Amino acid sequence: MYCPIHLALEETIHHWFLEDNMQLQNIYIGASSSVSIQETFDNPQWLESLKPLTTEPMKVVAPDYKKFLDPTATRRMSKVLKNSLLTARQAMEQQGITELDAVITATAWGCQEDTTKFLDSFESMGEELLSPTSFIQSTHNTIGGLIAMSVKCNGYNNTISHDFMSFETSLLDAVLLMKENKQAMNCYVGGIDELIDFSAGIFTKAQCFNEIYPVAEAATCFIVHNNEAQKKSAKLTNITLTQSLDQTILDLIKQNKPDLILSSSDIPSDLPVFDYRTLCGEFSTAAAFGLYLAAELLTKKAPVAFGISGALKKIAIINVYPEGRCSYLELEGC
Amino acid sequence: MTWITGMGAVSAIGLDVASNYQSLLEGKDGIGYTEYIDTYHKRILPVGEVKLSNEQLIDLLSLDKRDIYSRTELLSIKAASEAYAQACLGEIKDRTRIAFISGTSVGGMDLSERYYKGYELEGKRELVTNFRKHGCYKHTESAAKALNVKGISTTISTACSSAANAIIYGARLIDAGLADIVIAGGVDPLSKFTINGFNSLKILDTEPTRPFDDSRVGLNLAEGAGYIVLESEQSMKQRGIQPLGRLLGYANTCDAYHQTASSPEGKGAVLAMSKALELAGILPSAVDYVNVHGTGTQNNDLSEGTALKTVFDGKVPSFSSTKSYTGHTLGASGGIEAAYSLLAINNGVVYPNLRFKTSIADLGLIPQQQVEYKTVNVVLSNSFGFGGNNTSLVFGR
Repeated sequence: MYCPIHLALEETIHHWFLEDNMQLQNIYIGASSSVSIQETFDNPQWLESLKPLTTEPMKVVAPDYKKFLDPTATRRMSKVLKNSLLTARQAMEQQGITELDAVITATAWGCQEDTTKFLDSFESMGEELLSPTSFIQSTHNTIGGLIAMSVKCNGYNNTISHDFMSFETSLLDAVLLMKENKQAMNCYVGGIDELIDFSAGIFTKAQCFNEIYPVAEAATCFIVHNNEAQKKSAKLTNITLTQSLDQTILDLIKQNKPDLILSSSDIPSDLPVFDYRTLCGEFSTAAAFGLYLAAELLTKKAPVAFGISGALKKIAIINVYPEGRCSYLELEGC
Repeated sequence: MTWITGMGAVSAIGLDVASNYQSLLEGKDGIGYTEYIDTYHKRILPVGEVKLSNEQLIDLLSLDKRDIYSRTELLSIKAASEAYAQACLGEIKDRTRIAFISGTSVGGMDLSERYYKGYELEGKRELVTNFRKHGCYKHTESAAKALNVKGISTTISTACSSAANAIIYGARLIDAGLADIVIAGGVDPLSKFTINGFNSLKILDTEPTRPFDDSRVGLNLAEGAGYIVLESEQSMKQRGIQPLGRLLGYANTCDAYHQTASSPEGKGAVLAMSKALELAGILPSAVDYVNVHGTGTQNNDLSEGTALKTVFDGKVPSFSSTKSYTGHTLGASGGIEAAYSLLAINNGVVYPNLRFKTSIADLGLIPQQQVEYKTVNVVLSNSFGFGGNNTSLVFGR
């Protein structure tokens, strides 16, 4: 038996904004950047040349790191750290900012390469004379700490690791932070998960994910802000978290009538639904890719492949997860 | 600001808040060699271990013996249910208005390291039930389920400031009207992974730690869990429940200096403390006691001490590191020390910083050296972590 949880953020969000001064009425998704299994990084045309999914676990299209990062400074960094740093920098550059007010990182499985490297080192070499590098880089907050260091951000810094809900509750964290601060802020919000060979096998065996899609990975980030005057890709109009695809969500779909729903679940609605996991594969913070795609579709002309005619003005991203969690995110074009 | 109506703690110095308090007053630390971890360092590096095996915890919590639990889950359920009981949360009908926010550094690492090499050997069903328990989030979901709490739940992982940041997240949920009540805090188990990790950084003491002493050489790694119940004023009044105190202010900042070391001037620490006091609307001079982060490492104590002198303009109030009793419980420390802060306020007492002899040469700061009964209206509690994550909480009467 399930008990519906009603965190209708939509109402609350509108309520908050009415209380705030006019300039801070809205929360926006500004620039974004993604390293994913598609050729998303540094490529505005990625939607025109989509890669099909394979049946094997899929790793990201690795950027030319040398082109963007100082090889000496990043020599000991794992792939996930490089991708996170790279996407953060690119999003900031596209937003036209050199400083951040907050760094909020969502990662379900954290820095797995370094974690397993450290586990391996004491399993194979014994417990003496171990090198600390992989331990230092193994904690979930390594990513957020690194980004903060690279841009000298002394502001708010949080890392959320709550399985499938990591990204949604991170986005909520940014919204709550901006509400509390009541001033213009640029928040980095990233959804990051890394796939390593070891865990790819286990994820599959342990049936952690929907087996329709290959297990995958991505580092996707957004500059979330509340400054009307700044670059905006979309307006964040709703975050609703429930325990299932319940009446709350169905009512939202009915009332808000998004032009497109991005979801991998059966949505009982006549509105067009696109399964975005057919582009990004499956991983715990895939919702960040869903949001990225939504922002892209609102700012770019949707390719024919999506079967959408006419301009998109409003997109909902709906995720139904195991263990009784469901999320509804909504973006409107600016 | 949010009220606090319950607290729960389990650490090396006690299995509940009352026994933790007793140990604090008696000056009894919980540092010793591990009973439960099979490590090369088990007779070399003393730790702050909770004095119950997993089997005993499962018995105590009346959990299904056929299931596999991470120690993280067990410690979390133990402390959270104590906080839950004190706040009488069983009486609340709308379970969706109670949120559960927990912090942890390593989540179910005790299971990861146990099963890491065995995955190829185990059967599929066994893997399914086990593997998800390795993640940070699993203990949060388990504790929420055990307590039949159905509001929003999430897990913060900012190393040693995890629990303190969970408390901030909880306070914001209440302020935004997304929950009436939040159980917030954190947990970390001892593990071979963290013992070896901190040992590889050469910051573990082979003796009981000496925070803020000139001769300090490192910390004692520890485990535990600590949670407080945050509640809106309206809900508290409606239920007619007595508060234990208030969360007056908080701040989360980043040192942005080094992945593991603090900046010499304690930039992030200064910002965290002063912003938390600013949000609380309190002058530094109104702080009666500071429960410092005080890990006992060369770097932390010097940096935190320098920051204290800056924030309090040289007039540092009574302060102590209760990690001299418990060891460093990593992601749990902010939750356990929140409970200690509330005990200080409610009982009008400040605790000694054990084993202090000589002040750090460059600082000249002398921590609290004995139990002292005095009026405690405001406590500042610091939790600083790897990655430069600095968080300060301000508790009041």
